[in-house]
Amino acid sequence: MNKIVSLILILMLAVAATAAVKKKRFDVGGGDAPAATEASVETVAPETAAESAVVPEKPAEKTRSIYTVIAEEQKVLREKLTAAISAMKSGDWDAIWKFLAICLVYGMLHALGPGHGKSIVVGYFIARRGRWRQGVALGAGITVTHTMSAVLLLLILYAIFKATVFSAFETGRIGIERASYALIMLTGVLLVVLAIRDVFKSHKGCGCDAQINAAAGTAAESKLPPIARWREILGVAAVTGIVPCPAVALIVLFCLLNSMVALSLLGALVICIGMTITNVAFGIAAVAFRKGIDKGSAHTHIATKIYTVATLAGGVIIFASGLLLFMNQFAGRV
Amino acid sequence: MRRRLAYFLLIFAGLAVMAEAHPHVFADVSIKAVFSQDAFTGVQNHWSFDEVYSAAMFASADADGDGKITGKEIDEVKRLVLDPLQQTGYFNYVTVDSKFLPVRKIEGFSASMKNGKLVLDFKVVFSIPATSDYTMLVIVISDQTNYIQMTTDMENADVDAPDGLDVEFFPDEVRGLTLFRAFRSDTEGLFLRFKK
Repeated sequence: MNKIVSLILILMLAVAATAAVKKKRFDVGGGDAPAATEASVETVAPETAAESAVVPEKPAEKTRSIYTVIAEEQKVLREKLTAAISAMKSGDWDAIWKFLAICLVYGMLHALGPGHGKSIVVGYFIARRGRWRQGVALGAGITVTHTMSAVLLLLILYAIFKATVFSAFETGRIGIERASYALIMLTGVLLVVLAIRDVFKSHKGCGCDAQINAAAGTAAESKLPPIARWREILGVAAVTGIVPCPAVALIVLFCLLNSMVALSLLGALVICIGMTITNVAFGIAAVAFRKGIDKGSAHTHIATKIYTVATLAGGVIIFASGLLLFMNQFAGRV
Repeated sequence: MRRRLAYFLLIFAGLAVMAEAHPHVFADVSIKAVFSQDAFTGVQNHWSFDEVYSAAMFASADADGDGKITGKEIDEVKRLVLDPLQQTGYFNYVTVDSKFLPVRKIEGFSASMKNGKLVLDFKVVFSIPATSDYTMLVIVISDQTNYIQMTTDMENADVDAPDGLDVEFFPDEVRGLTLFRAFRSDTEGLFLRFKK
């Protein structure tokens, strides 16, 4: 009997001791506090009595940012992708259609992320007048370079390092990434310089050309700045897209490690198509945007100024994108 | 003309909002706040990476090709995966008195493969002495470069504290906290206070 009483007392003491750790809301105070901490204090849940504990009431429904939603979707797709590859490895080749479909959607979602050239495409076609096919070409050019540089770099390194390739790939990627972001900033600066040069030119000519043209009734087309050059578009595509995509490299490597060489290349190609769809959409939208500016402003007397501001804005967007991408590499250091 | 311009601006605003997602690696994370008799001593981390990244890292580390991570291979995993994260405090952000605490070191590192996933366990060491008044801290595990998408299960975060300490904690978003302004708005943290 005494033993039982002692045991109960020990158990009670143990519960009392562990109750010092509580899952409990408290006021963190000050204007710095997160909104949810204003919720009332909840029930205490002793750590050692999980089954009998009352779980603290959850705060109001948490909102997920678009970033999180897209990122989580990519995570799910990656899991499905590995499952499809495993199925094919074990002989179920019907899974190839699933694999290709996932690659396509994964590519489309993945390209929504920063560092895939969308802001460059947008900035460029705000700065420069472009044709529809140029919008498609720049969007596609960046993506094809981005994915194919990853495949090429990985295959070369794989031939040298075999299975230990990925750390070498990462070292190479980080170096290329920094150089690319610096060149993107330089592209932005060049566009800004062009805009400033236009300002000086128009001051020199006191803007008379435009006025004369307008008076002569030949305003619209003659006032418009020249169309973007293909040489420029190829240059921007190369500078922006040269950063090899680690996501593509990882999936290619995963297939190679599972002895599926052809599948790795097919997967990379379909991811590339998916990413191209996203980037081309941005290219077309950017060309449409610039065409809208041109159409809307062509008959105004400040058309030349609007074109200069557009070039300036495009240059600034491209420079800022390069700067942000460059700085992001050092984010989180405290 | 204005309507057309507004229409185009609307499209671009929409696209700009969508243009935020960039993870290449995915990790599920769970943590435990660890206390000694008289101090907060660190955060026990449990990371489980996605299969694609795990396969790449495992292939790099498994020198003897036996399909397991053993002996020196564990150090190699640490060198490949964790050492590059030293400058960002292994993505462990702990604030106290409106400043981030510096990470002292990591200890108890172990690596293994479970169901095709690379699993890391390690403790990130901090040091905050307990006093008779409450000390409040916030713990966040996040990669601000967005290279690794870290899904941290803060709802099930745990605390390991001795009897002599009074510890209270709850998970919540860090939205509104000055020090975490650079973090995504829906980043979750563990709010914790303790005293002797």
